[in-house]
Amino acid sequence: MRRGSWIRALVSGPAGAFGAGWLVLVAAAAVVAPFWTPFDPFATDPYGAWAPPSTMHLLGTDSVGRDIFSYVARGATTTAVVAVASGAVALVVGVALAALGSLTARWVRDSVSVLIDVLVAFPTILIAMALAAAFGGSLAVVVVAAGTGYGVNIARVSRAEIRRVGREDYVLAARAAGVGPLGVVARHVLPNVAPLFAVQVSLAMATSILAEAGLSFLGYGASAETASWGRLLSDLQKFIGVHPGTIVWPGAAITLTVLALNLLGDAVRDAGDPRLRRRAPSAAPDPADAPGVVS
Amino acid sequence: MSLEISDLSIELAGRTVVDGVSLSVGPQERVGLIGESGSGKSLTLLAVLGLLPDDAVVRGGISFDGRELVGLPDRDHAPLRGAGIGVVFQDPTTSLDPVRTIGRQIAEPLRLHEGVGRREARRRAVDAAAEVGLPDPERIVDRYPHQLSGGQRQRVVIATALIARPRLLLADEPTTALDVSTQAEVLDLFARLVDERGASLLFVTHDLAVLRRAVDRAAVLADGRVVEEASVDDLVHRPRHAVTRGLVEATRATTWRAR
Amino acid sequence: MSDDEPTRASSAPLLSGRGLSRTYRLPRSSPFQPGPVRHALVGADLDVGHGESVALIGESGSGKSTLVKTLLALDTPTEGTVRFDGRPVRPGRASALRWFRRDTGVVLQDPYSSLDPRMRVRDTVAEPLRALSIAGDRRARVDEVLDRVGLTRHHADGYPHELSGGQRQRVAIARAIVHRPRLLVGDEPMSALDVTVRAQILQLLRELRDDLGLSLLTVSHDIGLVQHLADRVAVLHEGRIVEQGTVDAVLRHPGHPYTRALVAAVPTLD
Repeated sequence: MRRGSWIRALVSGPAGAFGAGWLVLVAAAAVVAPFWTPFDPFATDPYGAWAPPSTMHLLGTDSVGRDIFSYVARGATTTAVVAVASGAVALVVGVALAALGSLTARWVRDSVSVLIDVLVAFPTILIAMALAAAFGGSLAVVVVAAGTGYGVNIARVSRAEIRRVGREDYVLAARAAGVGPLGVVARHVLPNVAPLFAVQVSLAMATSILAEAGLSFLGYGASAETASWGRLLSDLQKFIGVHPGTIVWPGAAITLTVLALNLLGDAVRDAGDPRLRRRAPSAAPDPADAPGVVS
Repeated sequence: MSLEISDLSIELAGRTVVDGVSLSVGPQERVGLIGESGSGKSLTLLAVLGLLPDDAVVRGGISFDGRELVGLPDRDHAPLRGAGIGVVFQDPTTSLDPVRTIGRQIAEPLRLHEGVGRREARRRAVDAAAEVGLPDPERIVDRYPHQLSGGQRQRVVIATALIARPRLLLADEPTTALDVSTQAEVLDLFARLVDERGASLLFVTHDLAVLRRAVDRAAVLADGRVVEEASVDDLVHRPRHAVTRGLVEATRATTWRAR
Repeated sequence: MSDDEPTRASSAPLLSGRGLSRTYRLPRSSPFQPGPVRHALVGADLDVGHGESVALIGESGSGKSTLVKTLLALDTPTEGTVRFDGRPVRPGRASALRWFRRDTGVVLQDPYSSLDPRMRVRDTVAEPLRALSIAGDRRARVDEVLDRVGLTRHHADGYPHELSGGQRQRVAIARAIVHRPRLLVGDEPMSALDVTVRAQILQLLRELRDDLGLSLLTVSHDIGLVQHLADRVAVLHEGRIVEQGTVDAVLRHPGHPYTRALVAAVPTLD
């Protein structure tokens, strides 16, 4: 599958275009912000608190006079780090458990099955709080909690898909052609299960962002020295009665990023599916279509 | 009753998939539509039922007992399905709801169209089950589809299609998914019921050998057009159009020859 | 494997199954009793000679697919042996079965699920060449075999979903013969196809048998097909082979009541 056509397919639809576009923006902010922001995100200015959006402060200032735009930009870095790290942890945990749960001996498969069911029962927040109680709240706690929590989910979902693909006729045909078990997994099972992973990992990343926002909001996540959209949400929430407008900025940032991840995940899955792409029909007549008059 | 299809055209996603099809089915007549996949035969049936996708563009006329069906809004078309027109589709497994008992499914057209009460509906469902040859009708009406064999499920579908005494029965490849021995029984059942009820039959299939057992007269469809129409005997022994000849020869080459 | 007795080799069967049985234990409904047992196949004996075309007839659930899978070492029989060219065939590691896979090709029933939707046609057809490490110009071989089954270069570069059922089945046949096997096995290879396409594929199979000297083993429920394709036929009913013999003998003068019922029920053209 040629790379160029894959990317073009990705951004051709509105969902993929929006998802990719917004995430590129967030990624740009994440990369640039640690080195430069219009203002120091943490610099307070008590006399300049609650300034409305202007050419100087694009999104205005908050309760202690911090430039919201700079803070949100720096928060993008945190978000990006958490999302990518959680996605990675989820992918590793998910693939490992899924592989153990479907390609091994029966007793191993059954034990893993039980293990997954037990782990799935624990809500991410609970895991995070437990970890925070033991190790103190931090971004690492968020990453581990969200990563394992979602990783187990990925394992559960993909195990069913792996089993389904394993039963397809083309796998049987491959075995009959002499392809060994490793070959079957590499050439048939993985490519057909991969799109599921694409969607699941994007969901894991989206969930981790929400988890980070929520946990930081509660105080179990990012510390005060780290810019976090969740923390900003928490800070501004106290003043929502008096200054309802400012809370829109971190809220929108979280919402749009989560939405973009969801949409991009779907778009990636669709872009990788050959069945959803059309090829130009050839001009030559098709001998296989000739009406066969059998004598 | 009669069904009169005049110059029917159906366009789907810009493509003309049925092009000027005309066919008539008189009272108590058994007529067939034969063609390959993609010839438009199933779509023609769906047009009679008013079950084409929303973006389909339909032109021409379909007259059922004098009533024009093309362009009829769904709320006027729906009452005909199950009551005036019964239909049997190909796959009995997907035609039946897995979570409802046989009895309730057979009786559904009655409850829908005639407002029959539950007890009466069950009684008539048992009668219908007996009529189509299902074993132990009293008990089978309380079973679920997955507890029946493929042939039994198709009988259930037939019972459902005929219970409200429709004047026209439509069938789309009703025996293709069945075993050979069951096929023969189901075809005989069709013939018998159509005779007894005085209904008309429009039978769609791609199998010429099955067509012979099911209908008297048929139209051959290719690329959405009728290329030949004649008695089944004439189609098989004196085919005139190239497509018909192709069908006959291909069927001879792949069908049992008793000699 | 010795080949110092050519005359004996031509009279001994190419593929031979003896006493093949396959039982399944169904999941138990109570912890105190073992689950019920299902006998999918019971004591089946089947031979396919060199250059012979054998058919297995039976309804769904008769055990024909199970028999074929055990004969192809894609499933382990509960009892019984399989021999190919006199050599025992036992399910096991792919590398140990390579010699067997080299000489057999399979065409499955459903053309819509037997091709990997994510692989190009060309790669699907080349798969046996890769798996069996067959030397030579693979691309040329693939082109050659695709041409043999009536498909073009354009088809080769495309994906299965762009092809019709008949074309997909041609791809499946191409994949089954690309490595030049001696035995071609088909599991209901035509039941999902329209009648004119069926006639074309039947013609193709007959040509391949004549041109390449292939032995054929075809599983079907369609006795019309069997009549036109096979020399000998075995009838399966509820896991047992109830009748076996030449097509003429078995189908025109059926002995077993099940076979009789089958022949009586089949729709004919005149």
